Formats: sequence, structure tokens, C-alpha cells
Amino acid sequence: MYDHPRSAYNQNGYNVNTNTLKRYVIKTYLSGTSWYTKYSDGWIEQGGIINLASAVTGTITFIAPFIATPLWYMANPATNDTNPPGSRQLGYGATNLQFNIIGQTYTANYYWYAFGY
Amino acid sequence: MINILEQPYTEEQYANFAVYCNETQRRVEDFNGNKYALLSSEILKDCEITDISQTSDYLAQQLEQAKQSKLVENQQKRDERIAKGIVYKDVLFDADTDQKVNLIFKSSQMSDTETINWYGQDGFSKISCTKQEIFELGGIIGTLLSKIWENLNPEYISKINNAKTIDELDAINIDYGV
Repeated sequence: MYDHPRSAYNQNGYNVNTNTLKRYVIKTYLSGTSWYTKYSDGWIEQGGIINLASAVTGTITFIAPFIATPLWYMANPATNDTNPPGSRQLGYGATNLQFNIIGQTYTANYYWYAFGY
Repeated sequence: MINILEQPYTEEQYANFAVYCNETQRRVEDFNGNKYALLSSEILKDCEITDISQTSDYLAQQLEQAKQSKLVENQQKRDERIAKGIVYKDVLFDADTDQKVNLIFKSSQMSDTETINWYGQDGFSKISCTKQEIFELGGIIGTLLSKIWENLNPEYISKINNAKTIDELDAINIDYGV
């Protein structure tokens, strides 16, 4: 009798059975300060740094689209900010493709990081 | 880099397109599977990228966004000034409303000849205060808070809200150096 190998699929259809499959990196991308890493179970991590002019509301596009809205974080480590670096969450309205950012009242570099399926 | 990414495209081509959008502050819109990189002053109309930067709706929206940012700047500078405290007899004290209330309460409990230690912002530095000095410290804080809350803050908010153009808004110099 043939015994089917055990498998467990997550909600996105990826086999995540740790007995038969270890997560491994399947693709990486780097362009300037923008990067992503894709894993064999569909997990994606990505991030970058963007420069935003004073008082501008902008959009950041995920460089590798997610299947669902990811967890994400956006921060401004500017030295002229009286709050500790990285203490502010400056983004809103995330989808699986992009999210918006509220710029501060000075031109600054903003760090963003997102992860999910 | 062109502003349209037409199907079929590879993951790498999409990633390059997204990086280009992020670097040039463009958003991505999808139409029939093709991707369009649009500035905030552009919309997608009949598959064409159309500039709306001179329309009244767009200018009004930009002004409103700039006002919101300026209001945030006012709030930050105001709160920073209050958090900076005040120096009295070479000791830095909190200058917030809680401190003012504490001083008023304490002074109401003191006799005219009594002295107490009043601690500074670091929780370590202190001065020995008579009732009169407690009153004086409370008065300095009260004057600062009233200048901020009753004069500067409402004045700046009013100037920001009444600005008719972004240039007019940019000319408002928010300064809480009191």
C-alpha cells in the first residue's frame, strides 16, 4: 500500500510541513538600498530607505508583492527628531502592494521593513 | 526608466519598477495587468497618464496636506518647549500643568515660615523653598504655559488654518523660544 507523504499547507498553499521541508532562501534581490528575500514557503522579507521631502505624503511600493497585507514598519531615524531613533510609526493604509507615509516637516531618510506571505 | 510596465514582466523587472517608483515618489496603479508609475499630481485616465497639478482640486488638496503637516510641526515644537522645562535658581524644573498644580497645592498647605525641598526635572537636584518661592516658581511656570497655550499656540493654529497658499504657509515661522 502506498503511503502518501505527510504534508501541511498554509492558507497560501505553501507546504510548511517541517518534517519534510525546511525553509530555505529561493531568491534575493538588491538594488541600492532596496532589497528582498523570498523563502521556499512563500515568506517574504523586504525593506529599503527612501528620502522624502519636507511635509510630503508619499507611497512606498513593495518591491516584491505580498499575497496578503504584510506586517510592516516604517521609521525615521533623523537626528533632529527629539524622539529616539525609530520610535515613530509613520505609515498607514497598507495593502499587499504598497502603503502610504506621512512625511515630517523636514527632508529625511525613512527606513521601512515588511514581512509576510 | 519608463513609467509603464507592460505585461509580461519578470519578478526582477517588477522589483526594478517598484524601486524606481519609491525613489521618485511615485505610486503604482494597475490597469489591465499593466503597471503605471504616477506622481501625486498625476492620474490614470483612459490608459493615459494625465497631469492634474494645476487643477483647483489638486491645489486645494496639496494645501490641506501642507496645513496638516504644519499643524503637526506646531504641536511638536509646542510640546518640546514645554518638555524643556524652566530654570529657577540654577535648577531645571518641569514646566507642565501637573507641576503647576502640585506647586499651587503645596503652597496652600505651607505656613509663611516653613521651607520645603522642591526637586528638579532630574529628580535629584533640589532647592529649599519658602512659601513665597513656591509661589514664584508656580508663577514662572504659569506665565510660560499661559504664553504658550493662550497666545502662541492659538495664534499659530489660526495662521496655519487661514493660509491661502503653500507659500504663505511656508512663511509661518513657528518659534516657541519663550
